[in-house]
Amino acid sequence: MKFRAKMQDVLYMREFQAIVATLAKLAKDCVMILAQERMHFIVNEDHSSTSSPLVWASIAAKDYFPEYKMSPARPDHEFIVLAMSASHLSRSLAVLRSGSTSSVHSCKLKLKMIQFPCISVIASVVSPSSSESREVVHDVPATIIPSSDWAAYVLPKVPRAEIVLGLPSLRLMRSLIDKLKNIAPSLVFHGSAAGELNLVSESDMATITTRFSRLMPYPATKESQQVASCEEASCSVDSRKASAFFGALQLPNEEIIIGIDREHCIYLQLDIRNNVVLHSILPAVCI
Amino acid sequence: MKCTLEGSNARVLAKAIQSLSKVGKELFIEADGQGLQMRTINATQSAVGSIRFSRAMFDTFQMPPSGDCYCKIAMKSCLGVFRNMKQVEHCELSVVNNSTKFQVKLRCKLETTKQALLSIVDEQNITSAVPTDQSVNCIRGDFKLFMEISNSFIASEEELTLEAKPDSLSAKNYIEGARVNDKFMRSQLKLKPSEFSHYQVAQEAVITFCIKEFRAFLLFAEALNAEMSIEFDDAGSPFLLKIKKHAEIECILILSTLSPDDVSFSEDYCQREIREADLPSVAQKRKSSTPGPTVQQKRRLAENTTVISDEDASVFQFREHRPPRPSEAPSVQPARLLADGDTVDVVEEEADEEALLLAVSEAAQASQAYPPNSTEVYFFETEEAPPTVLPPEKINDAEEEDESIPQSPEREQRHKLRTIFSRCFQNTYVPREPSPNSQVYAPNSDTED
Repeated sequence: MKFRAKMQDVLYMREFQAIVATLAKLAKDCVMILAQERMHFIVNEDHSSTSSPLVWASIAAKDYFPEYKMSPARPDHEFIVLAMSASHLSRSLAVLRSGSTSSVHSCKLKLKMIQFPCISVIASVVSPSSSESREVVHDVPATIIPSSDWAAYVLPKVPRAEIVLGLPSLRLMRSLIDKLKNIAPSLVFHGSAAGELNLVSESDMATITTRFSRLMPYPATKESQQVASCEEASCSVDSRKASAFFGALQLPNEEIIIGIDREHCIYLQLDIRNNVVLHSILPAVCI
Repeated sequence: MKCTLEGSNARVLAKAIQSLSKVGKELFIEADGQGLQMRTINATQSAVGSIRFSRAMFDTFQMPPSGDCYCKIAMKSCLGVFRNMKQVEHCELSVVNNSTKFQVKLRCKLETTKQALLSIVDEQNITSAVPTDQSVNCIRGDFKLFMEISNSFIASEEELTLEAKPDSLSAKNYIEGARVNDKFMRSQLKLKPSEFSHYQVAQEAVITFCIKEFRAFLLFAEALNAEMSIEFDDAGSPFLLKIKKHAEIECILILSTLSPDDVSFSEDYCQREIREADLPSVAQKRKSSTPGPTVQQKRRLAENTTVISDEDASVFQFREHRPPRPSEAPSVQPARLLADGDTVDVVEEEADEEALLLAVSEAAQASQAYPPNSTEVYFFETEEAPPTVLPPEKINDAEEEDESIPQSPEREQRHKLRTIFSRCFQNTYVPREPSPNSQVYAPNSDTED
């Protein structure tokens, strides 16, 4: 079992760091699935957490890592599956973010065995005070998940949705949902094919509806059986989970795609770039 | 003693106190001919920090007619006085009330005057007997560089290990091969000598020290915007951190380093056996004199029932086998007594205390070495027949040989002696209460204790 990868572009390194930082905000542990072409991260895969949603990210390895070598334990295996502390991983990559004070030449990830398996994050940093680079090494302890347990760590499927809309201004959504979570435990996303989204939060004292109009509609991925032409769909989700997702996002992207599967789930997708996607599923709750 | 400072200098003084407050709970202030010196020592006595301000810092500097003046005040109250220094224009420090109070007068903007009286806890001073200018290895660099090193490690990190080689310096949060916790993230930073303004490593060394005090002084170096230098010899010998600013402010932090034969105590803290070559008896099994909760109950029980097998061994045999407790013991011994197993800089006060304790223990042992007096309790187990009873039986056996009754197998002859509080009579015993400062690394498993 071998794995090594190397990043060199500063922007990609920062983006990678931002993805990991987002995951670290959502859960304590994450699962890293290394495939030949892609790298996946999953947090809360077992739905055990009550306050944060299932989130996974898929990365086109070749984009981020010009050098990417992965050889599984056995030739018939497809993946290397590792479980590790998300905060440790995020902490080890934190050096990539500090762009102004020091510049990072390259960052290597290596699977190593030092008393226990770990992912070594080796960053070569040049500080402004000197010309020579210094090496920062963090060994993030990881647990190798045997292939017999892989069934529990299968990448979730993107659910099909009746209404798919592009959400505007992430910052606005974040502060809005953060406030709405104090009003009621559940939050209703009500979307229409005409590009309208209503966020409804209902308590004994008040009902707060926030209306977004002229959103960009995407083609629905699921045919509705009930109505011939599906015009509207709504789903009520746990507002804490929604808030946790929006609060955790560290990526500068402005646009996020929301899919509403009636009475099933809300699906959120953040396209970081082509082939690099962050997904989340918020399951529906009964009101 | 009375001295006055201008506002900006008073702010530096306040910064110094803030840094020292992160090290120790008491502040020792000393005024002498050269200036004012502030010192502190941490709870485990593994770090001594001292900051000296030369007379040039002060507008006026009056010494008491009697000569040197020193006092000890509580850090917490002192910290409170020097908290908000932005408005301060003038500061006056003096010892008043027949040297029972330390007075701080702060004249602020808008003609406000703040006055604080801090009670002097003691007229005490600490000095360190560590030579401060003989280190083999010396590394000097900008505080920013050391800041970056310190920031590469998480705030809750306890120790930092420096591996100094003539051509590279690496800072780690672990000791190679020591820590085995699989949840622990190991970090290391490798630096090139060219990053430092002065890099002299004559002897390769791997030293481990507490990062907390290091950070406290780093903070002060940042406040002064000064260069910092670290000096050290080898593992186990003191590590020095020096900051100098225009010959007016001189700081030195003496940190103990982990001795090479000690394992990392944060993970592997366990009782250590002080091995001595010629200790014949089982009862003399020694354990580290750490007065801590790690003393195992099980072990104690085992010792209580230990059979002293050889007959001529006296009951209290520590006198003969007592290892010579050298008079210089305080320099080594406190390290064992401290919960963190660190070596310690020799501090007068500590040494005195230690010497006293040792004297007490020696006296206690001396008195025990003589035939037991009435205050000691010991039992002969009654089931165990004393050997003196046996000879008559043997004679009887000889007389009634005809009957040829097979003699029942003789019981193994041995003296079974049980003592109460046997550990108190061992020569490892030092009558010392577990220090309240000692850190508890593991809760006592026996609830009765």
